Amino acid sequence: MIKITDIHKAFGKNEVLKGIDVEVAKGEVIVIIGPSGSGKTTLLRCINFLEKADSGKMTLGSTQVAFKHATSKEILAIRRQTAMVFQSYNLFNNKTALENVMEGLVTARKVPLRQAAEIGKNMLDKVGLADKHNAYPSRLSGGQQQRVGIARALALNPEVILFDEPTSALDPTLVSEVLAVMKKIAQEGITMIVVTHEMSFAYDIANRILFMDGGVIVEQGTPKDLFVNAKEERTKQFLKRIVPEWSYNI
Amino acid sequence: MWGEAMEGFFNISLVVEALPQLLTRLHITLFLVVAATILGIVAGIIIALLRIYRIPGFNQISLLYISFMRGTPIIVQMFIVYYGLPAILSSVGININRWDKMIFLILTYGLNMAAFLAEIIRAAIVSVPIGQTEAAYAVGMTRLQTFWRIIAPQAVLMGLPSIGINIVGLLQDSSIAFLLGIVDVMGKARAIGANTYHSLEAYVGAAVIFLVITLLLEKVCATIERRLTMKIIGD
Amino acid sequence: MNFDVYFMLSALQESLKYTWVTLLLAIVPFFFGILFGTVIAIIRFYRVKVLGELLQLFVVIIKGTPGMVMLLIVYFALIQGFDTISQTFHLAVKSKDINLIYIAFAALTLTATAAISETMRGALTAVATGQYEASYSVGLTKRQTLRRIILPQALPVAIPVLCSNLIGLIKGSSLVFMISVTDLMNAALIPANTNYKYLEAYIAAALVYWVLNVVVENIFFWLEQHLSTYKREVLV
Repeated sequence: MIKITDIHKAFGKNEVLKGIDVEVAKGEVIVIIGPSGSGKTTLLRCINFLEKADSGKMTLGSTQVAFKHATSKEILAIRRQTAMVFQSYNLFNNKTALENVMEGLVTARKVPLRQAAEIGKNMLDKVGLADKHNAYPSRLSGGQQQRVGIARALALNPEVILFDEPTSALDPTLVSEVLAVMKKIAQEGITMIVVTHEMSFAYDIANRILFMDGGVIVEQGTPKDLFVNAKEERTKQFLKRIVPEWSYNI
Repeated sequence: MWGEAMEGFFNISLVVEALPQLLTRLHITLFLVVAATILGIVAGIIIALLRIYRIPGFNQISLLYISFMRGTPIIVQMFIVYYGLPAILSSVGININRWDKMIFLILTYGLNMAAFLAEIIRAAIVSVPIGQTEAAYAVGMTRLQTFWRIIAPQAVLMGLPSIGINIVGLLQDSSIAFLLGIVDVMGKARAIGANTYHSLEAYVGAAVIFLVITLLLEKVCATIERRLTMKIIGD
Repeated sequence: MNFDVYFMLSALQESLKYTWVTLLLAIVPFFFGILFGTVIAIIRFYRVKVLGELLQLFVVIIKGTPGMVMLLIVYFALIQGFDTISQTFHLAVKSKDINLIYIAFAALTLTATAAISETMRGALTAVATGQYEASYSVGLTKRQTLRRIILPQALPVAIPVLCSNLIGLIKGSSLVFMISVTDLMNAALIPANTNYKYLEAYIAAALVYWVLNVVVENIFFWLEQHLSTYKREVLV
């Protein structure tokens, strides 16, 4: 359903993505792991054009684009088939929780107000915020804000939801409530690409894990393939370093 | 003897007598402030947007304009507009010698305010975190939708306190408008002083009016700020 | 339109001759404004009883009074007050013997003091409370804390605002023509009184003010960079 071929991206002289191919099937949950600076987040941000990749192609559903030459119309088309959950939540500060969820529906997709409100309420209920519909972001905890962020993405009913380290900015005590919500929607068959450092969570929900380092995909496979039978030395090194954190979470 | 001498020097009852006369001209002062504020905000937003979107060639001109307006006294600007505008326009065949002096004043104060507001508005818009724009783009909003629905409301909040301060500043600056011959509060104070030889009391009366209006304005601004904050970000 | 460039240049020349008066009219009140303003700010910051409230009233009143009104009030008060006193005591000196520039200094100093006290108070508030608590926790006195920890951090915060205070003073000093003090603007206007070429005169004055304020801005920018070195060291 998503097919990315040979994507390259450099910031000045710093080459962050060095030709990556990814294919994601419908309903698949992909988790990308790797050391910081490996290009995980950049890859995610290139998919919905928050960064403009230097070269490469992408097919998303029926839309086909070359990253470098995408028109603003194509970019908009891609963005309206994807949704993103940000590390720093990025809830609209001037909108309530419900308005945050409705905004993309009403403004971008021209869904009638009443219907959008309906969807919005359902989504907020789903992420466990039935009592926070009218709260502004300034009155919500980090975990609650991120759950609104997830509801906002879900409401759009996108082809794929991109999760950019959704729990990294959270208080350790608030991480689990967000992970629980993510696990729930993963089980519903929504296509997800998740960048995270939560290894046990990755092991739990991923259909496939990609290990990235230095701008390339070093190794990929099922959670078991990667965590138990990693082939590449770089993967083993990375997992070894991360294990304390991992076992802690289990 | 001392009390008598004091009476001749400063007589508070004369201030009280002057106040109602001064207040009859308050509407002139307020009209100037309101009209110039409206002009200043509209022009300020335009300049700020042109600067943010880097309209070629405009950046340098607007920087020069802002620098001049901020770097010279308003009294000088006022007289340059008053003497300069008719001179420029008459060279293209337009005669504005019979224009009301108020028009020159509104232009001066409005354009002066625009220069200050342009920077405030620009800073306010730029200060909205980039994540807000990214989130709007990510849900599929266009640039224009993002600006009006997400960025502008938050920028208004950021800029509001400074805009309030500038309106108060404009009120204070309006105290020199009488030099052009309009009879506002200050013009009336000068007239009372000339008629009664009690200028001190007349100007103290004017000071009282400016002080009260300043405090009221500050109060109104604070209230608007609180209400809008509540309305926009619910806090 | 006939714009007399030569006359403008001669007005410019006159302006430049009296630029030092404008500078004096700005810098003297600025200096005293920093002096008194900082004291007021500290008193108000520590909420000294009665005195703090009185000073707050003083600041509110002065800030609410436009510079023009302040100048005229101080002028008439001093002139009339002086004559009242000298009449009462049968003194030979009259108000017309006073050099009017002192009246300008008095009025501008009042305005500057109120404005700068707010600048300094803002800067004091900007220093995090943790800094005070840390200073007290290592046993510094209030005075030591202020001098060694707080003021060095508050000053860089205050610099840009002080810069606009000074620029405000330079611009505000143009009002002294009201009491016949010859500063750079009045100097440009005097020759125009005979030929009515006021536009040229005002443009000449504007140019001098403009350059003056741009220079001041640059000086303060440099100062700010210089004074906030401790911040840079932390960042590196």
